Amino acid sequence: MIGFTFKRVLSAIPVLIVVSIIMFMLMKMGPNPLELLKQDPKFSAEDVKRISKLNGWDKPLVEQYVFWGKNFITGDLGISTVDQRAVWDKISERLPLTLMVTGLSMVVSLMIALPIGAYVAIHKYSKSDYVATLSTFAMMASPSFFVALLLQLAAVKLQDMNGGTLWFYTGGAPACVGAGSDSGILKTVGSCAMTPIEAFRRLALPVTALSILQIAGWSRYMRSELVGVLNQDYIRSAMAKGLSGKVVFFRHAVRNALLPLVTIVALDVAGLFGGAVITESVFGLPGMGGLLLESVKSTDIAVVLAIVMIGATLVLVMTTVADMLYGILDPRVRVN
Amino acid sequence: MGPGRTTVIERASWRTAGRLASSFALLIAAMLLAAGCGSSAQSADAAEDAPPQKGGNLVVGLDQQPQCLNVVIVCGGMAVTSNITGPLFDSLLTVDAEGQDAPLIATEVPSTDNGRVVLTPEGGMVVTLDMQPKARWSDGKPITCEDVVFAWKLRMDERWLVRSREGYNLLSKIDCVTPLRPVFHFKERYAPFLGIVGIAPMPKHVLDGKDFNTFLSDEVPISSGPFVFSHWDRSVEIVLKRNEDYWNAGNDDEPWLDSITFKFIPDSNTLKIQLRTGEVDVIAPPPDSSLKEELEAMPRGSFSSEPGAYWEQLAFNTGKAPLNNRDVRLAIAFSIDRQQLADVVLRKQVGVLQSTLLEGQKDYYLPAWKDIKPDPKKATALLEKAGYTKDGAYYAKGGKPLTVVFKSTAGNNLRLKVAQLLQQKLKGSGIKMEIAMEPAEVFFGQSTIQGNFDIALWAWSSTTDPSQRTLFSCDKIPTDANEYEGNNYYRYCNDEVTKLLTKADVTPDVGERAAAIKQVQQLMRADMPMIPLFQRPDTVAFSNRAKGMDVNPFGGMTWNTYDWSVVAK
Repeated sequence: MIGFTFKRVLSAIPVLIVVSIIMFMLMKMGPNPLELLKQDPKFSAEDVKRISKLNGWDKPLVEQYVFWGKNFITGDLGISTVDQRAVWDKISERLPLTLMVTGLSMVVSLMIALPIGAYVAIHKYSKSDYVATLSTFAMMASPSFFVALLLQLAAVKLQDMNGGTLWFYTGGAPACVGAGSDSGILKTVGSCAMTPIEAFRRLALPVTALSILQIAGWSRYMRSELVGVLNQDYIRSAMAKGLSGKVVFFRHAVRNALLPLVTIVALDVAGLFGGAVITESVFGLPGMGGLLLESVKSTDIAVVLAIVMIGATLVLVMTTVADMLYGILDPRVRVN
Repeated sequence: MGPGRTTVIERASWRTAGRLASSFALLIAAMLLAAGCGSSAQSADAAEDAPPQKGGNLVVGLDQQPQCLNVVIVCGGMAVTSNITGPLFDSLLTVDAEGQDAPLIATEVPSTDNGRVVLTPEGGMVVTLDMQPKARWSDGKPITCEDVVFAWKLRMDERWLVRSREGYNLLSKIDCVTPLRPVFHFKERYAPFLGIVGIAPMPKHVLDGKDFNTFLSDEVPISSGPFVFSHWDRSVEIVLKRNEDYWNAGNDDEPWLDSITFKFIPDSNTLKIQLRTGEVDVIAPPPDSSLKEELEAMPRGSFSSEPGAYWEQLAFNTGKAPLNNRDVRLAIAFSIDRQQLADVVLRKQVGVLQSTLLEGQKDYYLPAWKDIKPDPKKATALLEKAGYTKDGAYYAKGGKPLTVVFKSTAGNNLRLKVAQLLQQKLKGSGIKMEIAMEPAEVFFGQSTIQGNFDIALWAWSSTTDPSQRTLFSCDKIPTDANEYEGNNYYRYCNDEVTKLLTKADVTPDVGERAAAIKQVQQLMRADMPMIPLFQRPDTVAFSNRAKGMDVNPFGGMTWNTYDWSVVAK
């Protein structure tokens, strides 16, 4: 296991270097963001030159990349050229909310999708299967922004029905995430746990919006895998041996059906870091998706590279974890 | 769609989905706002009648959040930063309710008439101001000339990422003749001097020795305005509290509110919904075709809308064929119906703009484009005069159909509608128009600067000063040779216009300057390097508990926060 992990870490290094070079070059290929400011007649070419120099953008590209790379290796993510703040501060003030929203949606989705998928697999071609199929297709066909707007509409209607009392906020982050980098990620999550009602009223709609697509997709995967597994000979053998239906189902069928889902969920866990741009935007949530988008637009290379590199690292880590989990779930797979 | 791919798909297709989203969002938002239509006017009137009361918190919903709180440096260039920090820093001069320059910390607006502006024989000018003795920082220290000098020196310091030094770099010095009398010495005559001498003083006793690139990034420890900074929960909200020792309190400048909370919701439709649910009290939604109807249908709220400082215009690239031919430009001008554009695109929220200046710039405004109305016969005659002959549906010369490429910013529905209407009209006149909408970064960062367009649509922002030299003079055409300096993206060059614009910029006398600027308008109308279309409406919508909001195109959303109040329930 240790040897396997060591090999995976070694093979990840060139991947990360290539990713960083591609991202760096892509960002540098765009126009100088200061050129956009020149649309303001008060902003002159001299101003562009002066500020570019202060930001170090007048140096050769290789020098800029090497400077960034050296700092990155030592854990220094750099300084944002937009507001001169440490990149890690910017990330750490956005991360807690993103992790809460996307993490909660993942937990909620798993809790709902897996039982639904399992139930309809057992009762395939029943009325409940058809209802679930129709519902999941409708859910998958609904873009997240549309679902988000419908949820907001529902919240407004609910308010009208309750004589003006608003149960679910239609946007905005809970107050507990505002303190940002000063509090640290765990403290922020803890603070939200101390004000669960406010956090729930703020996050209910975005978590629901994000969960709907995941529930639809995952329940379909669960259903199709389980239907396939339940038709296998070894399941019939197990039943013939006299094992109870529960044991066969949970120990032999579900365990095998979960294998493809492990990969998908593992990659999605890595994706939690990146946030959800549209849902964050519609609900006014200051998360990682918004930070990445703002940083790309303003060519804030240090922030973009940091987010991409952390994201890429997480993907590599989670694929390794998924490989290890395969070994645990399926004794036939031996990690070597 | 695979399971759990929500976030991946969102990231991959946010742009396309965003466009779709705006269309759906408009529909849904309209449904939401229309739900339970109430009598907005009636309830607004009731709120208007009540006298303002001290106390309360007002929640302002903003679709952008500031990157920092320092308006002087690069990260503070967004309008939202000025809106939030405006109530924290009073300046020597301000803008009044009519959008005219007015004194604030200074005792009067300097001019050649009142003798505060003196032209020197060496070609420079000297401007003298007097400051109000009662002006105080929130810590009780007096606001003095030293703070004015310090504010200027900050802008000229090479260490700081100052946004622009335009105009400030023409000052040779500021003398403090007395602690309350700054005298500004300009190296040359500079007509837009009010924007420079109207500077907001900076607290030397607080900022001296600090890193100006970062010190005001997260918090503003002192104030000279009606409110003081309370806290900023990054990306969530910024809260300002009443400045209990506001130097200008009393009279009409009473800060009534205990506090103002600025909340950040990037989606403008969500903002409208939040106004409907009462989660926010005030919003400034971006212009939109159906905005007026949506807000009129909103229960428990009201709104105020005026033509704003941003004005949309159709730019012609006069530097290359076919629009380097004045007759072709005029033919296009007589082909389009600007009234119809304004009516269809903005549903009669604003009228047609007839000048490159706004009506609010009273002394300088001349409606030079008012005779430009749709006239197909004139358009046909002009195209034939330019050597084009009808070949099928389109005019052509040398076997090539008359084709123009229209460019503007993608994702802006108003501009897309203008493009589509324009395409129809030009087709009717035998001109083929191809539409290419580009991301703002490409459009403003490359196409306009490098002249890669025939017709383009964008907006300029006006201030109280009418200077437009950088937009239309020959030496302000961005080229490789001048390192793309200047905003004359039209590639328009008329020596007489350049001469008059230069003269206008060095003539502080209002009457003389106005004469030159009006002459420029007439010359440009004749040359037609661009066609003004309309001012984008500035709209402020507010709940019935909010009072005192008023639109001021040159003053920003928060220009009169001292008048804001809430009606007690």
